Amino acid sequence: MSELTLHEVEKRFGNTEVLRDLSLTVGSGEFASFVGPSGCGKSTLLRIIAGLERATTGEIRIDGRDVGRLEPVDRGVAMVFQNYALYPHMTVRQNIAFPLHTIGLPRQEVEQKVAEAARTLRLTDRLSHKPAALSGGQRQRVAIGRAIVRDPKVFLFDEPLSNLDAALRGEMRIELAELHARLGTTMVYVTHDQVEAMTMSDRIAVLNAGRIEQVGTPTELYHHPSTRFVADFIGRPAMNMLTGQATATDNNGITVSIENQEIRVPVDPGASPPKPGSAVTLGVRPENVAPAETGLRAEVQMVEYLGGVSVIHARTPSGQRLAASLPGAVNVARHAVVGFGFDPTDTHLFTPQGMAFRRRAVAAAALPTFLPTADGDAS
Amino acid sequence: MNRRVSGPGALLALYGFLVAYAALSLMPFAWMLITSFKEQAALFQLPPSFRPSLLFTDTPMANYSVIWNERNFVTFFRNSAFVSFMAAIGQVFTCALAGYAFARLPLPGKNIIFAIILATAFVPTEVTIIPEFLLMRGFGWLDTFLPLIVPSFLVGAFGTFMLREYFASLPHDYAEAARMDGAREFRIFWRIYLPLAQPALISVFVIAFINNWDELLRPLLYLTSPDLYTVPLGLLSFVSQYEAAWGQLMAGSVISTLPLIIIYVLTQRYVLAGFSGGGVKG
Repeated sequence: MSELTLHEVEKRFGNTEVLRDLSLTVGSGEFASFVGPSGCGKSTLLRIIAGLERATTGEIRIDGRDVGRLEPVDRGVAMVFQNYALYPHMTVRQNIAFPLHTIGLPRQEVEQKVAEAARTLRLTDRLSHKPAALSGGQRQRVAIGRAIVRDPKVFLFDEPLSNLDAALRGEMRIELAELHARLGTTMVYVTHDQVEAMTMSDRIAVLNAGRIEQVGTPTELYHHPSTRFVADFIGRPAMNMLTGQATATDNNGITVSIENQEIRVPVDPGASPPKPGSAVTLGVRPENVAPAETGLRAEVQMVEYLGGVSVIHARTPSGQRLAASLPGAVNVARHAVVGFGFDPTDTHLFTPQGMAFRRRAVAAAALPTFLPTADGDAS
Repeated sequence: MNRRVSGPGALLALYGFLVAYAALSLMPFAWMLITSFKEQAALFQLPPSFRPSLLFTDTPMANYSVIWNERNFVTFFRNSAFVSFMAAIGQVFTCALAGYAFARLPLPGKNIIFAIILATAFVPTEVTIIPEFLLMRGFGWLDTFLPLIVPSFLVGAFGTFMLREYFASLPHDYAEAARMDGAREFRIFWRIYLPLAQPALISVFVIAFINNWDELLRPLLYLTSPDLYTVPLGLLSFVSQYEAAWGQLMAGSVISTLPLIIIYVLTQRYVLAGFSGGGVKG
């Protein structure tokens, strides 16, 4: 298990700045994800860690050792590529054995390691097949097998599930999480899919335009986004963003006027509280919005029925979009004007520059807790 | 946009044209085959006859028998096979190295060097053959196979161009994955990209083999011992100042064509894939 440290990493391609002043430490055995929209620099960052690109400035350290100038193989990292990059003319066995032959491991040891990896990844009966004869999930597992036989200090995953269909992606997410639990190796995972990051990661770094917007656990990012970008990126359906004005500020929060409704948001006003009349954005997640007799009035535009939940998309009289995610099916007509309400403690408040006011802590009692059964835990 | 021929009339006309064109293309080969089964006396008959007269005698394979048993044709055949094979191997080897370097390595000025190499394809053989002859004489290689083989181990423009395009069409991810796996550049070339370029390599081999098999000028210039003659030179020896053994010449031509047909039929699939380029998906 190894610690990975990025210190003031920058990357420029000509005059284009791709990564800016990026510092982060991924703890030993941690599963860390980089998420962000296309072009935010997350894959470039992964390639810099892998050694496939050189950082313009900054340091990459693995276990305290600067590896920034080393060849990929000398860094002790292994990478799983987005399109697997399996050698199509080689069998599964040859693909997995390739890195071991390259470092000159004795044949018997190679056989042993390949067999072990195949057993771990349930590929034993596929060892003599070529990649073209495998399913997407199996190819993915071969790519992982090629990485794990090298016993790397750090695993790097570059959007490894993006070529799989939705059902298989779900399965592979669980398999990867189990693999991480079994191996305990430090893993760095790049994805544009926040669901993947949320479900597998110990910590997530949200990247935007070459910078880290916020680093935190999935629950921290969900409950305490530090910027409007993070709030918008994490969680699906995306957070409702309603513009309004601050009307009053005191030590317990900020009162805002949204669609002629006064809402007292329990946030820390901080050192520079908003002046009365200044613009603010109120954020509320669709899952925290419910039908209400009083509250914001909005016209229903569309209802998405997703089985377990239904998402109502509506528009306020001033044209602001509002979504509500409700359990099961809902009985509401299109173009009906209905009331929506939410608990102010569930809301977020952002400055016009997109910075969040610190929310009061989410009460721990509000989080559902599973208790061990009387005869101990499941394992 | 594909335009499809429809209607029985149009289809009939198309097939009629194709059959006529095929017949026209096959005519020289058919004439060669028929002539190889004719007696000397029947060769100049007017009007020309398409009747392979020897087939109706006691010695139908007379011309083939003479060239095989009496005119040292087996030696010519063996020499041609050896020279063509070695020269084709040389082309494949050097063009693969050069094509890979031009396609995948970050070399300064590589596009200019490539353009210069490509430009050599437009220089006629007649321009370079005299200095080449003087060079070979200087090496003391006259009347050996070396002048026919060694130049092929120097980079050829067409093969380099074709393999460069093919290597460039293969996904770059394989190289990056191999680098992550610890492979250096030559291992990446040898173990990953070379096997993946098999169709293009076979195409270059077939084309180089055919070119060298048909080559007359260089063997004529460099070889003087009949034991070293290649097939085209051997066939030329059937024609003297005063007469030509046309039946034997045609029989020799038929035999000399067979290896090319066999090679092409066996490798046709790869040659087509090689020319279409980059058939490998990630």
